Amino acid sequence: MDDRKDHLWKVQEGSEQAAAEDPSRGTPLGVDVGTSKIVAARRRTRGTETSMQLNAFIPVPFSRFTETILGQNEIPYFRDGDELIIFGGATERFANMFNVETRRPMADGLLNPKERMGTVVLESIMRGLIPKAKVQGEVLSFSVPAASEGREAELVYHEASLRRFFETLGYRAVAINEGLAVIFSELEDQNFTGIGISCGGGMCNVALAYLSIPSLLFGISKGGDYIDNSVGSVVDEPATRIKTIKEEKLDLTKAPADKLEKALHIYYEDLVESLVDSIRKAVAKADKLPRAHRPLPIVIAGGTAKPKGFKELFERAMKAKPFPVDISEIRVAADPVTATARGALIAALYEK
Amino acid sequence: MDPSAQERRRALEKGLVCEDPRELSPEFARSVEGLTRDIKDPVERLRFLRNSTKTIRQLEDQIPKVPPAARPLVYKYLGWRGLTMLKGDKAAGIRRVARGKIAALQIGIVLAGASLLLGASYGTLRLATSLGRRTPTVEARVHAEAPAKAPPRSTPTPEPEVLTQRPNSIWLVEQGRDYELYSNGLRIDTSQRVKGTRRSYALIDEASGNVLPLSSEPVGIVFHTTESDILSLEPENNSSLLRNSKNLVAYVKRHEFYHYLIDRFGRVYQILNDDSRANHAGFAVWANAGKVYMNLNHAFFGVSFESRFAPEGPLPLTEAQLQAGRLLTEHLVRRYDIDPKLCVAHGIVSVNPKTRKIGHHVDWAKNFPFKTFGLPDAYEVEPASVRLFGFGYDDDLAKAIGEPWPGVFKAEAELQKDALKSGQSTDALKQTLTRRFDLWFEEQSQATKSTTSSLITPAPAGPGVN
Repeated sequence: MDDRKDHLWKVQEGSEQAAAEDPSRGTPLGVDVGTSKIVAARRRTRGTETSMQLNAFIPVPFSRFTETILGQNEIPYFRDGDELIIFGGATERFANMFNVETRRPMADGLLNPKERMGTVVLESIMRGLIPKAKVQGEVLSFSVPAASEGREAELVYHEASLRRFFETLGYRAVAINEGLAVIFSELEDQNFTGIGISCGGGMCNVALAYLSIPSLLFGISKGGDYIDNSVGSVVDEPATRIKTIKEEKLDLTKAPADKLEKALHIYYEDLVESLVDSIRKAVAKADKLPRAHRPLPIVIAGGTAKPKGFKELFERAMKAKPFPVDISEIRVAADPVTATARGALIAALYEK
Repeated sequence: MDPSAQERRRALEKGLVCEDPRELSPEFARSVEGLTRDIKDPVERLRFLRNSTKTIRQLEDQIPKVPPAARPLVYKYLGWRGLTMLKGDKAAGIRRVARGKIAALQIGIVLAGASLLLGASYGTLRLATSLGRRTPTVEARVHAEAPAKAPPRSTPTPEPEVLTQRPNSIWLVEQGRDYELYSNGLRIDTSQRVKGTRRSYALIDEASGNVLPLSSEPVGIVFHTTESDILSLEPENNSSLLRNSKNLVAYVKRHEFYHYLIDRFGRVYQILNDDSRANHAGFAVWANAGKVYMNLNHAFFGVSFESRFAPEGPLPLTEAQLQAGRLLTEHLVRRYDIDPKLCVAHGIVSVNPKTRKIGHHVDWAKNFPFKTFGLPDAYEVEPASVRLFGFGYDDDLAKAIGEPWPGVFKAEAELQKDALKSGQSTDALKQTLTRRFDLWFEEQSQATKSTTSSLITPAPAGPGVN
């Protein structure tokens, strides 16, 4: 029967094509505003496209020569009095070159109150990553962490600041919890039921959702930065350098080869144990858990979950003590760095 | 709902706060999970789950009143309803199936009404009422085809017959730059109207087989459905509904598919002016009063409803489309003195000359509300494709619409009688008749070609070009 209404299918295809060609239709965006990285995701004809930028900056003294060099090398910067603020991807390179620490517009998942230039830098980074909305009111969904105890007011400020910024770009901005975004991107086959964990730079965010409805949201203020700073302090190296080593060659399945690796293993174990312990306690004392009819999957995302062996480390920590609910599987997202942004994109498309 | 509650609801939707999910019972989860398998798009899957859970929350105070045995059915109903709200072309099949299941269930509920009165709890009744209230109104039902209602218990005061005033004639009341308003209430959007190829066609005299002189007058109407993507009429779909309609008009205009298009809100768009042909029913046959029409692109207006043909269930038209379709038909019939017997449905005139089969296109092969449109029932008329040219039908047609329309059986019975009279088998007679089709089709095409090039030969693509 398929060929019977062939011409009418053409009507439908044509309608789709016309819709795709319609310039008045914008593109919803998903943005993961992470302490360490900002990742944007948008849907293209052939799948989801992501782009990312380091969420860091480094100030260097102003000179015409430095400014010229930065300009010639297309390194993003802006001038602030007698300093040039270099931000984004080039920051780590400069920090390693000068053996200094990069600075962060955000800390522990929220706007960094200690950085005077934090908001300006963050907005500059995001402007380079996120185009102005083609259509006024296009939906943009951005990730926010769960409110930690005692930091609710900071979260309100963080969320409102981001929302206002995105609105200046012409978007209708909606916030989504980081952990839930991971569930949206990774647990589609389980009907968005399970535990999603986003292990970022500033903190680890956890969400337990049942049929896409969150029933448990929380975060711990430990993340990749905690590992970098702790290791840096015991081996006397800048945290920025530790981060580079960690991301480039850390393998948690192999025995540590030197003091630095040993420290990395120790602090990774500490992070994972803290995380699993927090989840265990939160789930055990939760009085709002759904009556799930099958074991729940756990999916972990975020740059901190990227090193080889992270999953095994997490599994070991899970097995160390009984867990209050049955778990069907534990896995790391196929692309842990972009998972939150992809989940935020799904939320944006849903909100559209 | 107060603003703070709304804010909380929005925050919940975005996953910024939690809500007690315990009332989402495993039964409900199993039910909706079973329905998500075919939803490939994560966004649509999310939409389905959110809509379903939202609905179940709205009914949470009533669910406990439903007998446990009946709850799975309630959950399934809610699930199907959620499926009808999916967006996008890829989900069209899922929506269609879900709508069919809802229709079947609603019929079942009506039939089970008596047993409900006898045995079911008050809670179940309340829930059924709520569900009925909250069911999205997607299709309009024709009064003539509406199911009979149960007789009232007490004698109600009869409602006085509503008599309305109708103009004796239909005239152009007002004409603007982009519209025409007629005295029967018909408003035609002419902003998209273009001049196409001029109408000019030949037809065949049934008795002699001779080609009659060329004509340029419209003689009939063929009703179509666009088979484009159809969304449920819900406020949240508003922008998509408008966009679909706009894109459809643009597409139909680009390909000169129909003379008129009626969108889901009942807006009548004139795409081609009345003097032009449209590519809507090229391989199509109809006969009336001894004249045989073998390509309806020229002689017939193409009027299409933004809809998808459904052989079962409610009429696939909105109330607004139904009303607009009636007014447009009335206008065209009176303006061009069209014989109502020449107002037909695409599915019953469409043929495939290669396979010698009828119903190549099946839109409105059933259920077109001729009576509501004030037209004779064309389904009862013996189709010329069968009666004069011996065309048959195959299993595909049966799969699409079930049994063919009554006129087909009448025509086949007449063919059998003719075969008996002439002392040949029905198959042999049909073979003779199909040769007649080839001959007449060729003669009619040549006659038209001799005066106007490439007007009659059906274009290789386009609606109704089989």
